[in-house]
Amino acid sequence: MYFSRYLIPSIVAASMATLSAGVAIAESHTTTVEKTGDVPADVEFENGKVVFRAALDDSPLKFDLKPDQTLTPQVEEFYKTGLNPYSGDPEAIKAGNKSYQKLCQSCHLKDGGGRIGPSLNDNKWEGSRTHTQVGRFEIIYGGGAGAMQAFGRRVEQDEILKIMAFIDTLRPEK
Amino acid sequence: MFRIIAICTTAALMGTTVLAQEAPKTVDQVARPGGTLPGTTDIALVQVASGLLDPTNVTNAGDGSGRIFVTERAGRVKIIDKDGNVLEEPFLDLTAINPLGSDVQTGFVEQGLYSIAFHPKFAENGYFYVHYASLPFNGDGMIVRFTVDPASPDVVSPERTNETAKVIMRIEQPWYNHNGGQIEFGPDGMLYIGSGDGGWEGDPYEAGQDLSTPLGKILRIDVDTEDRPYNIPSDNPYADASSERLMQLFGITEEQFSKIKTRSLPEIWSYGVRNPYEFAFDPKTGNMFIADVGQNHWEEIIFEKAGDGGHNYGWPRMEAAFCQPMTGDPAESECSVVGTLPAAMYPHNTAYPGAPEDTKNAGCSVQGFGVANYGGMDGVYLAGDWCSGRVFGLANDGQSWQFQELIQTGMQFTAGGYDEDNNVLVVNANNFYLADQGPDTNPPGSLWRVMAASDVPDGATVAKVSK
Repeated sequence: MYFSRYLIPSIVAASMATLSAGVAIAESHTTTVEKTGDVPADVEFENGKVVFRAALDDSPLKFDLKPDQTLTPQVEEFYKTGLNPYSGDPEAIKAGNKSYQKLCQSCHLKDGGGRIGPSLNDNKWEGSRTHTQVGRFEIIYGGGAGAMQAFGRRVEQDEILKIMAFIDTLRPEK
Repeated sequence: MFRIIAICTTAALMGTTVLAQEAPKTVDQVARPGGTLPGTTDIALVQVASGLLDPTNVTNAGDGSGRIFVTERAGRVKIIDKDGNVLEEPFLDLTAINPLGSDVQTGFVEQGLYSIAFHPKFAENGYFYVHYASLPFNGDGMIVRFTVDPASPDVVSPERTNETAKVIMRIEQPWYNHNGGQIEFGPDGMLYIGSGDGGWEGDPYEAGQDLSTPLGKILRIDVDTEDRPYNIPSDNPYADASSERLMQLFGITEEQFSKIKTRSLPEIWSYGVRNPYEFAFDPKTGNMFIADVGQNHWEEIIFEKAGDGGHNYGWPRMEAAFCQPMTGDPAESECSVVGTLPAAMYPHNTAYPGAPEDTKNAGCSVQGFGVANYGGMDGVYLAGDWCSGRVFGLANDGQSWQFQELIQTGMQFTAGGYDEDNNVLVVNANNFYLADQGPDTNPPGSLWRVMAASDVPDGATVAKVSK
């Protein structure tokens, strides 16, 4: 079991190879990461699935919100790869934009420029993992500090992936 | 010789002590995050109750029942009994007293039922007071007294509510934000009211500095009268300033002239505040702390010595210790301080226009809790931030004000208060600043008690904190 905990699926390993070598993994929640990546070097896998962590304290993320929801194949794939299957999907981005307007833009603004919440339209990320898709899923689903509440209480995980696909379009480039 | 030294030493110590009990005199005396509190700083928030819908404030009745009363934004007051159970039927339900619908305006997240205060003699007279945004009065702040039926101490029926309603004050609100909220009886038995500047941004009314409006003020009234809504305490700073008199030009000093304020409201206790959503009295000393929500760059906490009214806290000339409007780095601009400085302040993500984004020690809206005198804490005013979930402590170490971040949580704090043993209580909600989806539809919030970490009982649910 010990070995499987750190076993990275081949698809992820392949995508990691495409990342530049200098992805900084911040140790502290107050450190800004100035690079957007896909799967961080320290994301753990256990039994072929990502080990998700709570953004606030790095404790194991509990998937106990909206327990009766349907986990779509895209969500299941995300669990396995840590990569958002909806990235670049125009229909998903359109749906994600609609949800973003309802849930996110009051704090992060329409263009992601940020005000109550931090900016989302550049490659500077607060928190140690939010520069990755896994980290962004963790903070949207389970919440971060203060007003960054757990949106997993309000929407299903499939919708969170679509919101993430839209947020990706706010940055000029990865 | 020794006697002279002793006298000098005593005088110096006294001077230090007196200085330490006062608001800062200079900007560099205003405490910022990074200080070191005396005493215990390792605290925890222990859950008392959950399932509260957009809780906005919390207090106790002071009647020995051990009940805790939480206001819910929609217009209900819930009781948490001494065993931590949330009683199903509301103590008060302002959504049910008007045949045309709710009596409470909740259209914007800053609107709703703000607070409840129990008369110091509640156990004898059953009087309690609420402050809420009125729907029929287009969001005006209504302060109303109701009377509990002794035969039904946990539920004030809609009929009883209407029968006993005595309107104390209506505060006109031009815009939907900055309504203030807190009402609380001081140690002097007077009702203090936190009144915001009326809203929008930048105080378009100039209300903070305008003594002819109740907006942008701390008000103080004497509610112990039956034949009128309230009386003016004779020691209010402007109690007689606007009373009619013959004009006198000679034989009167400039100081005497300065006390004639023909348009001032006698209810005013202090002025120049922006949005005092929360304030608290130290149960041990009677000193007052006001959590005054800031605009775009700084949050502030005001210290006011017990009974020391008449201060101008600067808004909208000042935002915390800086001149308002802020046009750049305040360190590079000259600014004359207007009024009394706050004891502490902390920045938003951008500390001034054009400043680099920095979330360290930052927040966006200060929500006051109360003063802790237990668990190794001595006179520590606790406040949280709505955006960043941080909890800060403010205290004086005998030399200067110290302001320290204690924990960072995942919660949106709204307010705090005390239980009957003067433990500090905290409530958190899960709502949106804009595009809120309604006070009864948001995920519920909780009630917490602040404890020294070493005093947390086994099995307690403790709020998660940032590592």
